Amino acid sequence: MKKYVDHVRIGMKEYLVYPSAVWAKLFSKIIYLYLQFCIWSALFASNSMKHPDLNKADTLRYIVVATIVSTVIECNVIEKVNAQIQSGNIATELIRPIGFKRMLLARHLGDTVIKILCYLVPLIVLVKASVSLPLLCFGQIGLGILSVFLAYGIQFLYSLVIGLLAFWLIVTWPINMFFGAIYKLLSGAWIPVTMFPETLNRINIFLPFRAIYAIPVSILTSSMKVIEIWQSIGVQVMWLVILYILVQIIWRVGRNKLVVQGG
Amino acid sequence: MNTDNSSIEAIELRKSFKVKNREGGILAAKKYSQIEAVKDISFTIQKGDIVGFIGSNGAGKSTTIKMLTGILIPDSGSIRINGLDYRKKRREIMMKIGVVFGQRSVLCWDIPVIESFRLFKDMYYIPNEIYNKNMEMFTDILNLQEYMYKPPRLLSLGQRMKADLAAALIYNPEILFLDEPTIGIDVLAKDRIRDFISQINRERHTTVILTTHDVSDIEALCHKMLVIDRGSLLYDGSLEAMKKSYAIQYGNSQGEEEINLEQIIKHIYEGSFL
Amino acid sequence: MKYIRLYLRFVIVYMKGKLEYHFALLLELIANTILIGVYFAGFWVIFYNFETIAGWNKYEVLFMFTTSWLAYSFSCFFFWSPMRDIGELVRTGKFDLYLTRPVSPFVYLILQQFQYTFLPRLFFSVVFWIYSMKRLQIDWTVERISYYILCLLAAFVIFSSITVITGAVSFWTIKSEEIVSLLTDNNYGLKNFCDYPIQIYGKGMRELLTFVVPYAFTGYYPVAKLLGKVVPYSHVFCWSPVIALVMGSISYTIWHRGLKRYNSTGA
Repeated sequence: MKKYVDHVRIGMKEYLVYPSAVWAKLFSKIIYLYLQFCIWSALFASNSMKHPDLNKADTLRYIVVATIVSTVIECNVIEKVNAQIQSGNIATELIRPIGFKRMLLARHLGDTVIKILCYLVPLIVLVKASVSLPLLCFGQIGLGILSVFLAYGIQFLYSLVIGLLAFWLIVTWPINMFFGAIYKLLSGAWIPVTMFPETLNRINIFLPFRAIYAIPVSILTSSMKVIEIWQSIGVQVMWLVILYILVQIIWRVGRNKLVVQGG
Repeated sequence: MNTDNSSIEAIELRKSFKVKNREGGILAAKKYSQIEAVKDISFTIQKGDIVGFIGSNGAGKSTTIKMLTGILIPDSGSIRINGLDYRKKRREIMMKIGVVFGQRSVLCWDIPVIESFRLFKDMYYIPNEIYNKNMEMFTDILNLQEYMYKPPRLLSLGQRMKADLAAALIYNPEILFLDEPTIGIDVLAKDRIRDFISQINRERHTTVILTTHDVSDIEALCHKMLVIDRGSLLYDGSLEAMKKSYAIQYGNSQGEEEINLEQIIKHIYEGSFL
Repeated sequence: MKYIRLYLRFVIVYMKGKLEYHFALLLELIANTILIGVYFAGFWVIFYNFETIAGWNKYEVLFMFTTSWLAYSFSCFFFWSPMRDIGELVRTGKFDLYLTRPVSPFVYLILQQFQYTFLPRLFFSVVFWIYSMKRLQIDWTVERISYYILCLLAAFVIFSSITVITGAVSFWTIKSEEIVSLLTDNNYGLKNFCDYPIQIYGKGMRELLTFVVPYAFTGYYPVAKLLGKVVPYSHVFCWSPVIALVMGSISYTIWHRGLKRYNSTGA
């Protein structure tokens, strides 16, 4: 257990190596939150909704909470895994007494602790101080937080899957960019998935992205039937399991490739 | 001031840097202190000389080289390259000097070496006949044909160094700066590189300034030595004269011919000679 | 002339290097296409749900931001990659090598690359630019055309100047990437603010985008004028060329100050 705690601590320290980067990131989060808030407020203010069931307060709540939650869920595991594989350092990681994936998770947890302190808390304080918008559905907050934890896990496993593709590819940033773009739209972090046209929603059902933002943020912000909430959480658990199995497979095959061909 | 024969003239060069003392936390203020890297150095290098420029790590060697190549501007003092000043004739000087840093390649990493040469041909307006003649010569001495169609990332360190040297000499510079050209290179490749440098020096009277930590480079190539320590010039003269004066100070135990240059340099760095 | 010849040589060299990994090259192009395509898809989703924003309809907003993107794509084609890399070059000391060439380091940095990754963005911009222009039926008189072209050039200069300034910051602080991304990042950067009419923002942000980081002059003001829209600072409508000149001189000065600093400290 102690070795994991050490890695959590390393993760925290690594994240703070460039304090200027942390400041810039916080600043860009605030800017982005403000941009989103302005755009959606203006869209509703122009009173040109084509669908009567769109609700200004709900949408704004969704957008604000999604942006705030994104600070915690975000994950740079893709870059880390890529760097390890491409530099060949993965070989030295394999002979360590601690499993590579567990080490990554421990370090990511360390990152997250810092992110909560440096981004999440300031953003919540800022939002609370500047807009008088009730953000959360307090009746569902327990399940909402559970859902955020699941989303955190899905995001981590998803990043690991993409990151491990570096076993087979020379450059992986286009892959990151490719999935990053699709992710941005389909996860619901940018535009609420309730606004998607039918076809887009139908595609989305078969992809894990919805489970990362749309589900937890909906549970946190809009009142839902209990059965709906449990269904959504069921979807998340399903993706967690699928991605976990996928990681195991990719890891086994990739590691064998490494051992057999020497990278 | 400039005589016909001097190719580099450095007069009372000085350079100091601000150095950050410690890494601050998120809110901590940074503290600085002033360090004099080079204090009052003057020397003249004649055309056609091969000069070994040595000093321990942090002696001010690379700062001086950077000033001589126009990368750094001295706080005071002046540098003349063939009588020209960087502050006025920067472009002309750049056409006349070649620079090779052992640790940093100028070649494009992913493309065949030959493409980098073609690039230099356009950048330095090299006429076709000179380009072709030089390529022939490099092929002869440096075995360029073996690797010029490969990208540098696939070359051995020795081949890469040879290619870098060739790139720096393809436009017939009058002065060549070499910063640790043999670092990490095997004995055979080292010999090749040294032969090449001395041949270029013989045939074209190219002035060569060489920094190195490898004593055998100096033995093989240099007529003249510049020794720098803690920002000051300790010695400026021929290699032989240096050996002689060492022999006088420590000489009784050994014959003059067998004096080990490495030992001399060790004594210099320790502060017990010069 | 010399530079054009040299640039062609550099382009050949650069693309040969890239073609070594042709699979990666293809992936890069596809990824960029998807990235930009998704942005337009998102835009479409928004206007699938809403008719207008701040009195601008879909085609008006589209025309506004493709105008800005057009200038941005061209500008990035030349300046983005050199200015992004400069921090790394300074950090590793490789910038020294650029100073020992008979070509100025600025020119060298720009000539030595060919940022084909901006081609998808340029392509999408042109397509939707033409599409929206057709839908809008602007009465293109000679004055309007000249005004618009002048504004496009100004937008190019404004974007380039901002990029150069952010790059030149590397001469002072070693980590300048954050500043670059703060301004130009595709997801979180300040640049994204000029994709919508600026009256949707608060007073502070409007002033920032007009007077400090003048992104509003790359699309919003020129197009608002053409469409006869009401704008927050009505007297600044035609300032684009002036702003471009000011930004150009600021970036020129900062770049040379930065070089001088590198020359005197070695960074």
